Amino acid sequence: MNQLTHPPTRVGRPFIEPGSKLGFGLALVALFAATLSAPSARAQSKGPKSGGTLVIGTEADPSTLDPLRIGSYAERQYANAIFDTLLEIDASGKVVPHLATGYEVSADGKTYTLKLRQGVKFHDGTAFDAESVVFNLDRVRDPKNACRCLGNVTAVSSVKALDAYTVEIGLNTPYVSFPAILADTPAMIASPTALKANAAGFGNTPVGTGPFKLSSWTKGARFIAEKNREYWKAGRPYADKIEFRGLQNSETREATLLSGALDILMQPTPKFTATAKREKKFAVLEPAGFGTFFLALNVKIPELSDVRVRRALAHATNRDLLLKAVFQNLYKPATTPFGAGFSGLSQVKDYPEFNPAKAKALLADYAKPVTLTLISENTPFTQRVMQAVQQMWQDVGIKVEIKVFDQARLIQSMLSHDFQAALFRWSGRPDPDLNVYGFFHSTVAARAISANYGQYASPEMDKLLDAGRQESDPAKRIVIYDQVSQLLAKDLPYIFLGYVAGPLISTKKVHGIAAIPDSIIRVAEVWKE
Amino acid sequence: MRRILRGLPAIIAVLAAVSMISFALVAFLPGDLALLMLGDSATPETVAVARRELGLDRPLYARYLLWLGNALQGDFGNSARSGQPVIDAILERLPVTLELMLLTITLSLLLSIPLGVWTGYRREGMTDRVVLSLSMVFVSMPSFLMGVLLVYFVALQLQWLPATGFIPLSESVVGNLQSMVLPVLALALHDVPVYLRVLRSDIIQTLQQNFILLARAMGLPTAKILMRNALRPASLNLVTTVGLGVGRLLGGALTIEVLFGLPGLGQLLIESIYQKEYLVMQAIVLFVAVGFVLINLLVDVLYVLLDPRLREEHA
Repeated sequence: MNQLTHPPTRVGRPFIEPGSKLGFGLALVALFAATLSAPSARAQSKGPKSGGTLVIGTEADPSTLDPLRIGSYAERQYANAIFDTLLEIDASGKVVPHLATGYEVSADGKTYTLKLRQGVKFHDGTAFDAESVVFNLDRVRDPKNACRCLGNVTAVSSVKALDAYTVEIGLNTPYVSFPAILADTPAMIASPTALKANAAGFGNTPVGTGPFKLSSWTKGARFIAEKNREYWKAGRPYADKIEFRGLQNSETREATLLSGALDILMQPTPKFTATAKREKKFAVLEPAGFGTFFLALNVKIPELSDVRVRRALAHATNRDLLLKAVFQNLYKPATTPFGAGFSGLSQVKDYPEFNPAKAKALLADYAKPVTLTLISENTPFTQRVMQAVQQMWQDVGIKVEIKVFDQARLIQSMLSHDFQAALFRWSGRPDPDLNVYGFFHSTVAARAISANYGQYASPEMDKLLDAGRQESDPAKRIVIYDQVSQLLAKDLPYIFLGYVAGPLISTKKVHGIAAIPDSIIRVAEVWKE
Repeated sequence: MRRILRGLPAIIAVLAAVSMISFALVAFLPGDLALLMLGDSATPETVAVARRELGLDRPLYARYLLWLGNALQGDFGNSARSGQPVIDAILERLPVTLELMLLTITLSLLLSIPLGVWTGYRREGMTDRVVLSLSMVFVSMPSFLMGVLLVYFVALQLQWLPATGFIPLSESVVGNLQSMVLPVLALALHDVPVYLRVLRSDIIQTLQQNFILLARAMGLPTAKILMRNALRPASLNLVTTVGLGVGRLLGGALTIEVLFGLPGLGQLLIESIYQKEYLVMQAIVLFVAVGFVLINLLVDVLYVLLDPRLREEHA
């Protein structure tokens, strides 16, 4: 039945998969596992029910749903209704089959061969096949199209259809985190027919293979999609209709949930999340998350180039208090760049703890006065965090000035390395490589514009990052990335504060929301009483 | 007519100034537009290409003239994020703002005209006192606060109406009106006191005129005197005030649209600020400014219609 039931010479394995009984090539088994992990933790007693309209409140109505332009959390959530990705991640952060039933990796790690699901159709009736995958992947990797995902697909050197349902992807270098990329926006497969007919307007009338098809979109307000009755996954989606409501203002969004007009609320504020946990009619789901929020330090400025000062800052930062007082305990303290959604990786035991005396001693040793400017976003919430950090650092004798920018300016300052210390967050990606390589590798630091914000460079780190990107044995990768965490705790280009989580609030009538670490609701699986 | 024609050079000057300001507003914003648009996938080479494509390498006046020339032909460029023409994005949102505006004006006038006339006629009476003290409360309350209170009491506690959201007219007329009730109330309750006070004081003055005395002496019914003879001459200031109010609403009552999740111009403006859609911001600012100018022109026309003396002056 499936061509991949006999494991090939070397089978691509999802990263961090303890005692891999599920050979990844064994598509059927893995698919079974995926279905097992999908139903909600709550209300296992009652079976799923079909029908009804699911109304989801999000932070913003996207301006487009063209996979080339999808980046934000809300955009990715809307896209989940319309598009399927080639691969998918499950609740444990593992890569599992989706539109592709499985894949093989060549011995040199540079060729991925994907087997595609047969009998799948796009909403416009076009058949899903190897040609459509080639068309989409070529579209996202063409620099002319300036995909927001471009940085993730630069390793791809060729995409070929071997037969109607087999695609071969060639890479420049071995890239073990590539499957995670095939579970993300670059691998959202859009209908080639629709794209060819109207490339410019595609973002307003997206056509995919997903569980719902767009029926009406009032820009800025409501996105309504009807059940895709020919969806490839049996019995899915459960809901007849899905409605996304983009509500910018968080109070408005929360009032809309309270008024009973929403089934699910995304991106609640920490304060509202704390309130909702006490309310009987709401359920709060807290997917673990892949990312962290942190203080990035620019190691190129004189004060911060001295590791004693960076260490002093870490000892001066009372993370537990910060998490409790400002974040209402929504996040857990972080010691690594890898969110709680990763399993198998260890915490750093001796991460610099809150200890003002040690901080003062280190600063006394450094013997010069330290003045810093801390920058971040201009939201009231972020400013409260900044003020808390400012107070903590000033308590050990460091002068701190706070500066706030709008998000775009903040990102610009950080990308162009024009800052001293910055409070920032990164939502993370399902492979550890994607959480560190672009941020800490020295080759990236050298570029004028790069995500190695603080221009940290260390030969030891480079060696680890290169090894992690090419190592295919999950157990060895765990060792490598634990070493990365240790080295980061020693060199401190970042002071990690907390692991980010994206809580979801729903009414108790809603079931089937799987706690996938990226906090994106797999809408096909959700049902209502 | 001549009166309006005479104002034309001034109007053109204002529009030219407004276009320059809305262009400069965006041109002088800190940050490199090209880098902002490319985000973290930017490399120095792609930034250079994007700068050239956006025309950022040309001198400022050339960029302004190019932009103005295109804008005059209805081309405000394409959205950086979606590639959608900016004018389409605006036209998509305009009906919502226009509906909100028309309903608010209608409701405000329906409430304030009878109240203004009556309290002017029976001043110091019971109704007058109650209305004046209530209007004091409403006028001193910003409309977003009114909005929050309405959401809390009418939508959350009583559950009579949806708290937020918008249903297009084409989908359901009843649903559409339901989604408009609270936002319109929030805006109108703030405007009514202003309108009614302006009208009330003009009515009081008008009622002391000789022609009113004459009308009474002729035995015309009070209602007729008030609504026919007194209202027209007393409404000049009201027209000006309403004109200003309409201009304010055209900009999309920003806070109200965001608060109630209405997809109008105001919300589009806020979204484009968040998403750095400079071309959209620019176009909306220009659009609102032009609308304001046109409304003032309309107010001038109404003056002439309402007050025959203005016509005779130039005859």
